[in-house]
Amino acid sequence: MYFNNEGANEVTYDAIVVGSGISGGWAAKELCEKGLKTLVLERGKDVKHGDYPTATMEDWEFPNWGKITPEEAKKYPVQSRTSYIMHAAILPWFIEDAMQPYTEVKPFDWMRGYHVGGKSLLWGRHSYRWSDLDFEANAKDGIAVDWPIRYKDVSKWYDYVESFAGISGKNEGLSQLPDGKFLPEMPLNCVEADFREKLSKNMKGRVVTPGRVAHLTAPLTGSTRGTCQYRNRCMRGCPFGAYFSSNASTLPAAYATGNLTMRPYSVAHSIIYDKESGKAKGVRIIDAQTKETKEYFAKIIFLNAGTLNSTLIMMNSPSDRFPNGFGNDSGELGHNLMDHHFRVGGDANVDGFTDKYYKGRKPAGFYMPRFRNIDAASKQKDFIRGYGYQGSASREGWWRAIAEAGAGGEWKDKWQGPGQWSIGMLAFGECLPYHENQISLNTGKMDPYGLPTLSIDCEWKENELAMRKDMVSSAGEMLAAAGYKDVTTYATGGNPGLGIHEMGTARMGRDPKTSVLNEWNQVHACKNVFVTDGACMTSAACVNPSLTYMAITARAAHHAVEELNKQNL
Amino acid sequence: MERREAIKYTAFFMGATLSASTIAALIEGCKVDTSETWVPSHFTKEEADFVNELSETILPKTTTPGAKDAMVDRFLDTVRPLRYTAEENEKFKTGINTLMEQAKKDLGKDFVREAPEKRLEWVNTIDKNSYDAIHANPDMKNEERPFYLSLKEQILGGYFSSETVAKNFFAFDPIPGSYDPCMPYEKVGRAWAL
Repeated sequence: MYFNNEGANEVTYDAIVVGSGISGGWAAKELCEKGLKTLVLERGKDVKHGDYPTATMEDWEFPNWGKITPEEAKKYPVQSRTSYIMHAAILPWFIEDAMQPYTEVKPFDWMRGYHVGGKSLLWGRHSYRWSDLDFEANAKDGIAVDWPIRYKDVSKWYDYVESFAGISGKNEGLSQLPDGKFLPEMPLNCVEADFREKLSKNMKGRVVTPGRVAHLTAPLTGSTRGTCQYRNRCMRGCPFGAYFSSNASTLPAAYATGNLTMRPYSVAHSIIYDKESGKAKGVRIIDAQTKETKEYFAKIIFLNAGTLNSTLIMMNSPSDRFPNGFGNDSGELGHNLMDHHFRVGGDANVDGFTDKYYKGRKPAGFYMPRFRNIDAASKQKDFIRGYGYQGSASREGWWRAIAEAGAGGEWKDKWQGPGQWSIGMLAFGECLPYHENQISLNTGKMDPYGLPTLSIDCEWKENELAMRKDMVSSAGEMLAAAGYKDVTTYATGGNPGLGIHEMGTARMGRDPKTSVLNEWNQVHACKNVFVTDGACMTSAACVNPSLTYMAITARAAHHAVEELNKQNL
Repeated sequence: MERREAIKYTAFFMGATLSASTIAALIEGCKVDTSETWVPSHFTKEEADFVNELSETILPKTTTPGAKDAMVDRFLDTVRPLRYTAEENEKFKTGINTLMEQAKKDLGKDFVREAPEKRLEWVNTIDKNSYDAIHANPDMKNEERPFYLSLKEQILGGYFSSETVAKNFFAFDPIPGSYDPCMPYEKVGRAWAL
């Protein structure tokens, strides 16, 4: 037993989960439901479901109209790079950058929300299964290392997490985007449906499907969560619990077991390694309020602090056994950082449909699954892998008045109706795992909690840049093929990180010499430590990763409990 | 008007690059001090009166609310100092004063003392000249655009995003509860406020 002045009981648990976001919430739920006394360490404040102060406010009800003053904005030089967060309804969920500075060797936008629930409150909610096209990609291309798992290893876990999280969507029978256990889809509106039909006629293989999103479009069996009210104010937190978040979904389930202890304001510092047993025995934290150091102990540890923070904690845990960072026998810890590259797409105006409108603010539009490099016929010469699009169609609002000369009563009243239809699509592309895209510890520069800061050195390379050219031209080509007018395309550029899909830096693999984690997300050389957030990813695919984090986490947690029961851990 | 241009002008209004999310941000509204005793704090009384009457000229009360109902002057008086730097606000106020002077010169009296029809006539001329200038030179830099356009954009923003206009001009439905992907427009008959 390990003692400190709080007494062994209060600091000793069966399991510790670091982080309470999408993957941490799942780890907590699964471990608690299996009967493990589980401590969740969350660096930010507690947020109970429903504790969403701005959720039902109309914009005119905000002090200062929700505007962020230039003075306030100065606290968010990095976070403000995601421009849509600069509103009082949302900004409080994001950190002030001085809380955790980092060094940008090359520009990297690191978006962080520190509170119970983490980015599960703030995510885009698109939820797509990976396919063997993704899991086999590295092996087939002969790059990086092979994933140690295939679709057959995770498909039942996708079933499992979809059934609990509640994912709306439409099965399309596509090999590159496997079908799932879906609630009814959020239907395409008139023009989105028109786009689907036109493309199916004019461009074979381009599928416009309703976005598969983690929203309840119908009551979910066994759940008290409410259905989507079509307010589209999701990022403020949903008082109806209509989209999946840790706060509304996994954490209440974990609490219901009586096995969960939540410790907010707990900044994980390092993993405590026990030389004799060859296991990790606990986690050292800094109390964010008192700045005191505390130690907590458990049989198994799940790292779900968010990609870069999980790796930071491992890097900050050197020992005689692991002088170069916890579990870093391979030298790959911190390497192979990935994100999705985006800010490329197209827009067009759509004639007609002026007698058609919609009711409700749908929090998702359409998705177009990958169509490049999925078979011999779609093979590209300039790049490997592929991309998908998210998009939507809508009727223009009053702001079109700004561009039109005029004044007076008649002029004013003509803006009372909606304008023409327009449609837009935005591509998200796969980024390859490059060894040299990496993070490292800046031991000379500490953060306010006394942890070393990170240096981030990451850039898009040739394959991504070549892919982006195709992402632009395909968008234009498809909008034109649908017969839409005023087609414009854009390629705005953007730093890695802005996709907020940071992945890699502690990759899974078969060989301990070239990877950090095994096929069960266990650290190769210390099997009672599991990393199941984005850090574990061996490649990035082109689809949103959160659903895969959920599936991989549930799978790893079940394996952990089995191994514990067999006394293998 | 080309949509691309519209976006450019909208971006001008926002003072930022336009994205889908900034379009969403355009629908931000205002809650104003509605008390009878309100006095401007950012603008001078004279500037506020001018903005108030200019707004009502561009967006007069008809069967639907006018700019005065939406209290656009109060919106701008409160929001300008919060959103813009002192330097930007100084320029903005200079722009207002220059416009006031021009009106006085053209009309032979203060804009606010002129009859409504004469005000509209004057605004229509300024309005037309300003749009003609940017249409003639689509690559014009923001700072070279006629000041009137930037004031008009702010007035439109304040008006269309107000609570009054959300509830009495557009169709207001804060909690739709369900989604209809394709319905006859007549069933709503107005644009949604949100």
